[in-house]
Amino acid sequence: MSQSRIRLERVTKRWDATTAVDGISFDVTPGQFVILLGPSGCGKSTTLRMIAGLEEASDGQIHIGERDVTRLPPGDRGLSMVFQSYALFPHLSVADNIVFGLRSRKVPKDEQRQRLAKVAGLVDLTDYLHRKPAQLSGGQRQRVALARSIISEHPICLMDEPLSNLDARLRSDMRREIKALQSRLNMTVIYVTHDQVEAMSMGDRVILMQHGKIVQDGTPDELYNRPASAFAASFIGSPAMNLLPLEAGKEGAVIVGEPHTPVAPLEAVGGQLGIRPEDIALSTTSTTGVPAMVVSDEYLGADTIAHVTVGNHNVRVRMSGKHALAGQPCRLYWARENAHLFAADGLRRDDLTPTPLPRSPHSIPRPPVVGSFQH
Amino acid sequence: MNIYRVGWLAKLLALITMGFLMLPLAAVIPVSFTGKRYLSMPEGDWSLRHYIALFNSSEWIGSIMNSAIVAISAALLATLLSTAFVIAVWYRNNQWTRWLIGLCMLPLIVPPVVSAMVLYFMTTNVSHIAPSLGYDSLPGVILAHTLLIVPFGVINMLVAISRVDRRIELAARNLGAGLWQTTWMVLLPNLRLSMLTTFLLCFILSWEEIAVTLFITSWEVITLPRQIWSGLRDNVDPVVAAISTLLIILTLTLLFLRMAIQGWRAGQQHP
Ligand SMILES: Nc1ncnc2c1ncn2[C@@H]1O[C@H](COP(=O)(O)OP(=O)(O)OP(=O)(O)O)[C@@H](O)[C@H]1O
Ligand SMILES: [Mg+2]
Repeated sequence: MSQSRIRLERVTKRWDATTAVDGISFDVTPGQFVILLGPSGCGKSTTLRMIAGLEEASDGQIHIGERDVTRLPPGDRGLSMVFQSYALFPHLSVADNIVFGLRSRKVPKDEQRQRLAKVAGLVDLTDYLHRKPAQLSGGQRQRVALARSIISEHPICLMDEPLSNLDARLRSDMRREIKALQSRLNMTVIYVTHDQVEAMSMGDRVILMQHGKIVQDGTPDELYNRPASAFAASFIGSPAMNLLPLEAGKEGAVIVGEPHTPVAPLEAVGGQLGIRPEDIALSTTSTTGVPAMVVSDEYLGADTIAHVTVGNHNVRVRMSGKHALAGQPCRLYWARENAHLFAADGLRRDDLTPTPLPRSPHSIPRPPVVGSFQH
Repeated sequence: MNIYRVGWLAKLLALITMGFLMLPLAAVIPVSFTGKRYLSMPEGDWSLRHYIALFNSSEWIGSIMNSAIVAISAALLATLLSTAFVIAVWYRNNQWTRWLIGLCMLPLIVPPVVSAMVLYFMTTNVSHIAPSLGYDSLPGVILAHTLLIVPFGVINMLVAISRVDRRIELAARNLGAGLWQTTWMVLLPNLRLSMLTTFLLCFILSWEEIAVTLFITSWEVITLPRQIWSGLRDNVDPVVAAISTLLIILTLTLLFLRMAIQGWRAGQQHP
């Protein structure tokens, strides 16, 4: 199985003026499901294409298994790829699309037929083999693209936003199917997405990128609970983490515009305090905690997002159930372990601990820590 | 929803314009069936004698054969050249290829008379070395026509290849196909119909070419337009009306064929 290990060493891609990928390194162990996550234009697709050999690295090395494949043509790298919006061959039937790779590698006809039958069953396409891609639904095309790549039986599969053209329900079905397929075929998968829900629910490991660099590389849990930077904090989680600038107050750092409640030691001044909307408890009866004012509320069914102002800042608070609190003064409370501190340059500060807020006896119990994500 | 309606004035103008364009065609068809020996409207004396004369004349048949050979060869050459060109441009896709495309279009902006003169000097010069390739030879005319119609072929094929999704090339390479396999198994099948329409377009362009042909042929290679031209100059024979009628039918057939192919392709949507 070690031929499905993927190792990148300071891989860089430059085009004239732009550096799309800037010296990134990571090591994917066999059988891992790794997510490349990041905003549009951060270099995810470029990284994937360099691994696939469809784009030549300007610098650095790519190893697959024991081999240095940096200069190898795409067909010799022993991996398959699923493209964004599928890239099916419009002139070929579903069956011919799926066996294309076997045909170009001159696999005997008999074996082609056997493998086609097996893979078509696996992705539930047996009844559609004679159709053209134009005659399929989005979900079926997606399956053809999957089948076309897994029929090669390569131990590595690269996927570039394979679900971005599907509607929400189909996406969640396909997420589970892809996961199931991966563990069944014991594939190593690198999966590109800019959808954090996909990243958190599918990945064993998430590599978060920004401007061609890796911001954080860890398990979904680590990304959610210990974001390495303010960017990582705001990228993961929905609604995004609240980031509040800190200034010097009498007894420590305070939120700008709210000078009476110290929230962190003085050394944190100039940086930001981050708290997730789901980690904040809001009370209209409590007399302790950070004073705030509810501006509006957004009812989402299972929960309500209250938009409140603290000092000069807007803060989102997630509450379960339905609440209509607009216009009311309130107090906010959060547990010390749920508050994150970031330095002025955005990096996480682990050398400081936030100041605990005084706990009021009346405060509402805070909602359970959300480890699962609603879309 | 289109909220603009076509007004009656616009409709009338369109009808008048169409009538103006169609009238000569409408006139030439009855004239070709006249029973008289000169150009005239048939007055009850409908006859096929001019069609019979046409098919019995070795001059007319010879010129039709010449035109067919020239048009088919030139259209084939132009289609192959423009296909090869756009495929190379598609794979390379850089600064240089944009210049090359511009270069390819140059013959379009040169006035036909200038092209004709240049080709006249070229063919006469070639004649000194290889008479069978130069002035007043079939290969000479074929090459000259190819030169003239290649830009149109390139335009047609560029439009076609720009509709091909680039990702399918990446997909093919990822699936182990090399350059040739990608070209044969992916690119060309997606260009097949466009190559056919390009061929038809080039065929028509070469088939009716007269300006340059007048300059580079004298009496060996008489193409059909040239034969018509001299037929009109010497004596106005109703055979000209007969051949015109046949040409109208041929052109209409080719145009409908091209439209049918394009319509059929539009029906086959791409995913
Ligand atoms: N062929 C190219 N020439 C020049 N610049 C390019 C080229 N391809 C990509 N880039 C640039 O490289 C950067 C990274 O592009 P890439 O496609 O990897 O982004 P991405 O993370 O996949 O974004 P998205 O989520 O929108 O797909 C972008 O700024 C893009 O403009
Ligand atoms: Mg991308």
